[in-house]
Amino acid sequence: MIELPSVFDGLLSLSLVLLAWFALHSKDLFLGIVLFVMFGILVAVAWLRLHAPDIALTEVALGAGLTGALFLGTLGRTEVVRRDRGQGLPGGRHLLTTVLVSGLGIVLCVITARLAAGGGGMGDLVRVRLEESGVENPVTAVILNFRGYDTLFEIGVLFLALLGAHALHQAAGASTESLRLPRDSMLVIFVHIMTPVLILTAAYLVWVGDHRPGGAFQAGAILGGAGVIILLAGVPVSLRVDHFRLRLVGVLGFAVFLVTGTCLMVNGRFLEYPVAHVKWLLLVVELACALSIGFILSSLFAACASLLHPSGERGGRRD
Amino acid sequence: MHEWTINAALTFMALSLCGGIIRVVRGPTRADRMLSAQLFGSSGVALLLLLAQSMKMPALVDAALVLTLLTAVASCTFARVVWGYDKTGSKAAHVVDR
Amino acid sequence: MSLTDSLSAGCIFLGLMFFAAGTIGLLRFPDVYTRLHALTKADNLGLGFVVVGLIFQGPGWLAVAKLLLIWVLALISSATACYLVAHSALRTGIRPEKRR
Repeated sequence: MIELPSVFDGLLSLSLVLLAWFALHSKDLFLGIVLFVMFGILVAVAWLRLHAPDIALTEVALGAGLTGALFLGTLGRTEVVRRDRGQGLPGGRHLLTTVLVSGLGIVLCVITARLAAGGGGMGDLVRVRLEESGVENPVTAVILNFRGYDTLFEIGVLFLALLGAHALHQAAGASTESLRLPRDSMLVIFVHIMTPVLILTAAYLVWVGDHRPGGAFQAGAILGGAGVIILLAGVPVSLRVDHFRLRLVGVLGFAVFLVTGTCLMVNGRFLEYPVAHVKWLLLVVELACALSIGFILSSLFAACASLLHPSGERGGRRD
Repeated sequence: MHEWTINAALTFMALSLCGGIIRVVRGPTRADRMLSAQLFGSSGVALLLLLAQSMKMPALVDAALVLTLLTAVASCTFARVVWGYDKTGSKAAHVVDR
Repeated sequence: MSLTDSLSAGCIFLGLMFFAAGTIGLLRFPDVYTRLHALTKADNLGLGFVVVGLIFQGPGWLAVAKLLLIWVLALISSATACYLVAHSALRTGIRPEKRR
């Protein structure tokens, strides 16, 4: 008798490929975006089947929720409906593209097969030195401690991306006038209920991130979601980077991380945590990063969907 | 609990999700497509909860919580920005599209 | 199977039936508004049954509370999304089907 889990896995894989195919070949941008959101949800399930709950959490928060919102917001403002009848690329390039992509696919399959068979990778190394990192969740240990440099620069890059989005938005000038959403009373009630829940969930994920799947990125994505629904409800909140206090929130994660790393240079090297206090230091850094990421994502959404208020409007603090 | 019960449930949910794929490709209006995404969200939550039970990973319940919270975000964005009002408050241009 | 397990299985089975009803409704109903009904009502009830079924298996009060929280939040979110989509659909001029 066929094992039921493998039937499920087979259905999952088939749906993933199907959704990806449809998303790339759809003639309508909106259809592509919706398929992408659905694809994100299924990918999260796939990550779970591969025993990677942290990545699944991040995929759910970012891929299914926030990226979908970002795409939809941008689409709503630009409204480009692709009407090409599938002319595609000129003849020769089709073949070249197919060959390159197939080659990449084969290489990935070979690597995956080798990983599955030989158990390569650094999992054992991390497990051996887990107590030194001060946290019990190996993913958090890798992200914040063992590979802290990567995360530091990622947060910096996020803020740079935000600056870029705002610069582009301002450069476009009058053609991207702010969309003034009327206050929808039902949505305001929804925001009243959901925002505390979202903030609490974000705090919970940061706290729990050191011994269970969780962490700064997931919490930041949830805070970003809170910012998005606040904006959508038509609440007059300004998320522009011009305001000093908001800029402070955006830079907070990178700054705290950098300052922590530099202060640690007193006793050791840059970002070398002392084993005694590492847990609390990591918590502080994670909290700051989560706040930053939340603000950056909300502000990015505001820029993409042109929900930034025109200058002269009263600015509020995103809280 | 018997393994096959949960596994059968999982397979069933996966089949139910395939119905959503049909609707998203066919559905004439944009709302139908967004509804399919909502279907994926709700069914995804049930799927994650069942998976949490089947794979004995309680952390998946957190994933289900996050999915519940954020599915609404995408739907709200759709309803307000994509299909909503333009600057003057009149109705949007697109009604039915292909 | 013990009593708890049978109760769980029964509730989950009921939940799956409602999910199936929701999907079939999404596929077969004539227009947006009826499909909204099928989706938001049937799916949430299905989720409720699945949650109840899993509560019987749950290890402790915290897990039970979390499951119930997920269900309540799903109810709130889908109700709001349903209202918003229906409102926007009315605004953009989609009329309900009046086939008799």
